[in-house]
Amino acid sequence: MRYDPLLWVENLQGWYGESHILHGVSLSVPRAQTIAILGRNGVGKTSTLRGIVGLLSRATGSVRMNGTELIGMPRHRIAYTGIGYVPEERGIYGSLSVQENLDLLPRISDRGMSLERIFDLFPNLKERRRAAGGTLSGGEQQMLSIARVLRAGPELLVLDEPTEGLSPVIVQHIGRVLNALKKDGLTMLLVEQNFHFARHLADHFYLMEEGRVVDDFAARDLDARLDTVSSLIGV
Amino acid sequence: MTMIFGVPLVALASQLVIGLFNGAFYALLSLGLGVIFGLLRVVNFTHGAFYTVGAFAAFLLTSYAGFSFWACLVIAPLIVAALAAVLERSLLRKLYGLDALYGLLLTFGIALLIEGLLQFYFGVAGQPYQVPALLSGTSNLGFMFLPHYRAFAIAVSLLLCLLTWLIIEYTSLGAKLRAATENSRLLEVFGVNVPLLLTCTYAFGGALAGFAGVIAAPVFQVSPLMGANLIIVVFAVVIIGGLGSITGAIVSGLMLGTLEALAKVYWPPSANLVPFLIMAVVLFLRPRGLFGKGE
Ligand SMILES: Nc1ncnc2c1ncn2[C@@H]1O[C@H](COP(=O)(O)OP(=O)(O)OP(=O)(O)O)[C@@H](O)[C@H]1O
Ligand SMILES: [Mg+2]
Repeated sequence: MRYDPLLWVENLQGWYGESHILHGVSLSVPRAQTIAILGRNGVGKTSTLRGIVGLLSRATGSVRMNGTELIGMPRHRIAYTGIGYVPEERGIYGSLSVQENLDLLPRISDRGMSLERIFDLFPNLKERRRAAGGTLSGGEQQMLSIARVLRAGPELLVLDEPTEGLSPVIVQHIGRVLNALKKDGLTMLLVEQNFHFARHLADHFYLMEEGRVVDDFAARDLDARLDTVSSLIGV
Repeated sequence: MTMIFGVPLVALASQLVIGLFNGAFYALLSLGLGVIFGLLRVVNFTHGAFYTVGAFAAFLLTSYAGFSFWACLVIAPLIVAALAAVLERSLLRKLYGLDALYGLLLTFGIALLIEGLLQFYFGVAGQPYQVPALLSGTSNLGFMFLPHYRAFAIAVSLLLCLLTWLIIEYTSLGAKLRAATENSRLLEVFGVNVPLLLTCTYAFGGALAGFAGVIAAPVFQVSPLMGANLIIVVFAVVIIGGLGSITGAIVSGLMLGTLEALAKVYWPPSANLVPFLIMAVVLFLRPRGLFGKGE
């Protein structure tokens, strides 16, 4: 059987204006697996995700989703290949209500989650559905950011530091939700500084440094690599 | 005879109707300008020309093709919308992401071009346009005579403003517009066709201006510079209401029209200055306008 990942990134180079920040990132995300990208601050983890969803001002190389090339595709068509993006800054629309944020994304497939299921996973959002997005706490914003893309029905969830700056209780809650999604077969690409959070979820790890992938290994080999990982990301 | 502060009620009431009538134009025009600025970040100096084109489209459709006023009320805005869409797709689009000054210069240039062409073909003299027969009368309200056409114009303009406001605040399309105003790149990543949304918004703003132009045709003369004269006041309205605020555009449009009319009654020489005096005061007290939000 041919190895056929859901997402395939090959030699991705990326720029912000004049500054060249991704120097050939390659990685692959197999179906129904969770991949975590680790690395210090500023090594280009967010930029890699932005390159995948079409948010870099210039990108070269190849990003294939289900075999379809995304580089050069109009930005508004990329979601329809099955990608749901949860940005690092969460991207909640502050002037829209929680409900409007939840209804904002076009359905990209019939896998889109029902509101009942969403409110089942995130009861807080149900209580606050009439509140303006801008008035939510950090944890609520993160939940809304995840809930919102799940409504659209992505095949691949791209998450940028979903636990950043959140209290342990909320981190646990989000961990449980992502685990449940994983059991349902959702594929995930996760950037995470919280190594302990990532190791409970990920099947495979990539390590980045200075705009490149410098190492990758399966979760079962993690213990053997702990020293390298520690020295590279400082945990 | 009833007097109010030394002015006969009849005169005051008639001026107020004229004020509301002008205010309705201000509201329609500043609403379009505001929506366009909110989403495209373009200060659309072509707006006055869109208004003029709307009036000319009605004039030409009626004089040369025999269309009724009512048909023009629908067709002329569509013509302006099409013109606006073509301009956005072919020229304006190239300037997104650049300094706002480029958009301003381009739209100003286009306005001059349109107005120059109209002057070349029609001269500067105004062309008359008939009030539709259905609305040509007046009603005696006891304290004043209400011209039907003006009453209709005020009502239909306000209705259109209200409808626009409802769409923006309460529909999913409106939610997309508001979201695009906040962060359009992310909205694109979510699968919303933002370039199309921008074209439609510009076309819609143009259509509102074109609609105002048709409404204006029977009252003012149809002339190449009718929009250029109006647009300066409309910019004052937008600034008073607060850039990008829908409610602000509508409320301050009506308010300004009314205040202008009152000024005409009580101290005629000040009438033309009123919009700019109010703008200065508002800018001094609330730099973001009456309804503007901080960025
Ligand atoms: N909008 C931008 N314009 C210019 N340079 C940028 C921009 N965003 C990020 N950079 C630079 O690109 C490099 C990679 O940044 P990136 O955000 O991808 O890192 P990261 O690995 O996600 O870091 P963190 O862990 O802090 O989130 C950094 O040197 C950063 O300063
Ligand atoms: Mg980052």
